[in-house]
Order: sequence, then C-alpha cells, then structure tokens
Amino acid sequence: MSVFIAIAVLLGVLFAVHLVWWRIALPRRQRAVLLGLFLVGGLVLAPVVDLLFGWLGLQPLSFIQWLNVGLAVVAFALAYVVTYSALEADSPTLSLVRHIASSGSGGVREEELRDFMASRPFVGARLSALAEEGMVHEREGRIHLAEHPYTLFKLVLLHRERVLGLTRHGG
Amino acid sequence: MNTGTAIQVLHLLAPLVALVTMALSHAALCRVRPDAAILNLLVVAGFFGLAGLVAMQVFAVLAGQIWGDTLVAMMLVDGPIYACLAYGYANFVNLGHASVRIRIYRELLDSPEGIQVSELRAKYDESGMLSTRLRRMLDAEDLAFDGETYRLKKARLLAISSVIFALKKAVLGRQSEFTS
Repeated sequence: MSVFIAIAVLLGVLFAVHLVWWRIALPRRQRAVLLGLFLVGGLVLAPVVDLLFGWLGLQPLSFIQWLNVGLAVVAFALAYVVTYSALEADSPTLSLVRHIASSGSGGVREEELRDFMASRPFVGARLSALAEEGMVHEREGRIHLAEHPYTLFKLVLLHRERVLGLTRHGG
Repeated sequence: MNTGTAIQVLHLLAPLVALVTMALSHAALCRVRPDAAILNLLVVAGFFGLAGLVAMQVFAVLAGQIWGDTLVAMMLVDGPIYACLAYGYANFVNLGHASVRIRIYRELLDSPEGIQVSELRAKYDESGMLSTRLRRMLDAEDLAFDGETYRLKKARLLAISSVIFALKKAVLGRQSEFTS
C-alpha cells in the first residue's frame, strides 16, 4: 500500500506541474521536456515523499520498493509521452473515426471522407513538425535528413523490420 | 535474501517479465501471421504478458506472501505498471505501422540526395492516407462498408479517440491542431 501511495503522490504532483506549466507557456521541444519533468522531477521529489512518509508515521519504503516506485514513474512517463504525440498532432485514423461516428447510422460516402481529409493538411503538418524538431531541413528545394541521427525513429524501424519481420511499409 | 526482500524483488520484476513475455509473443505472432491486423496481434500478445504477470504473483505467494496482499499489489501496482509498459510497447509498434512522420523519415533515409517537396506531397497526399486507413480499419473490422457508405462496426477506436480528444482539450486547450 505504501508503494501505491508513493506512486500516486509523485505522479499526482508531477502531472499537476505539467498542466500548470503547459497553460503558462508551451515549451519548444514538448516531449523531451515532458520526459525530463517526470524523470528528473521524480528523482527530486522522491526524498520529499520519503520525508512526508516519516512525518505521517507511514512505514518507510525499502530500496527495492523505491526501485518499484521508480519503475512506475518511468512506465507512466513513457506511456504519457507516447500518448502526447497523439495530443500534439491529430491522428488521421482517429479523426476519421470521429467524423464517421458523427454521421450516425447513415454512414459516410467515400467522397465525403476525401473532402474531410483534404480539409486537414496532415502531411504538411507532419513535414512542418519534422522541420521544427530539427529532423529535416530544406536545401535548394529538396528536403534532407538532418545530420544527427534520430534514434527513436531508427529504433522503431529496426524493430519493425528485424524483430517483427514486417517489410510492408506503414504510414 | 530474506522472504520479505524476495517478495519485493518478485513484484519489482513482475511487470518487466510480463512486458518481455508480451514483446516475445508479439514478435512470434508477427512472424507466424504477418498479414494479420496488427492491433489484434498486440491484444493477443498483451494477454500472454498478463499470463506472465499472474505467474509472477503465484511465485510471490509460493515465496510466502498471503493471497490478499498479492492481489492488492497486482491490482494497485504491478498491474498498472504492466498496463503502462504494454501501452508504451503497443504504441512503439504502431509508430512503425501507422506514423506518417516515420514513413517520411524512411523515405529520406533511402534518399541521401534529398526529395523534392512536391515529390513527397505526391507520394503522401491525403487521398492515399485515406485509402490506407480505410483498408486497415476494414481489415480489423472496425469499419463496415455496404457498397455505398462506411459505418463504424466496433466502438473501440471511438472510445480511444474520445479519451485523446478530451486530453487534448485538458492539456492543450484545443481539440485539433487544425482549429484554435
């Protein structure tokens, strides 16, 4: 129970800080800052939570239990940062689903769906996002990858092709 | 190592064992059924992972923990941690499957001389994106097509979109990147 309470307090405080910060000023590299907030913030707050436990008369956590709390914070942080990509940029699939659902039992014709997609410049928005994050740059009318490798994308592709053996292109 | 420490270690490792079980079973399923809908394979693999999580709880009981405490630990700590890890893994896989950004990145990786913007737009126009997504959702039976119109068949994607759009409103103050 103590482990659960420590996790709940840490995540509650960190998430509250995130919401307030984001309403005041959106950071430029939002996902990186978010990950940093949860990981570094978690490390900073953990001793405070430990003191709070002592003050409240709760049994202090052992080292193994603190590792468990750390795992929980890391797992939540990663899950939330991944979800945040879906918050930053509209998902074409989910946008389509909401549009189809809003039409009710009548359904939607393909022409209407094409008009809906044309009204939302998903590809342009993705290209802008890649440029803003410094992953690509334009030179003499052509788009190039930035010099530094983007580790996450490389990992995703490596996993897809080598581990899962899926050679069909996604996207 | 005393009994209490051993039980704590088992609970620490339980979500990680579950995640590894999920990842390994997912890789095996993808090799055996490469044409199956990726979401369906992830769900099946998730259940394999859950079996791994339960196995670790059994080991905790065998190590001396009482069933009630094990159940509470699983519901409040191990289970939610595994859920987050499994969700992270599922999204990691889905990035390679559905992400437009990663697809563009792949194209650029294969083209050291760069690609013209018009060429990229011709390859990745919204019409192509629509066809790909409709086909995927029809294959996974999330959508039905009666020859004229598309309708939602399963509610799961709508439930996910409702959560995502509510979070967008709460965190960013807007529901779409294309509206203010």
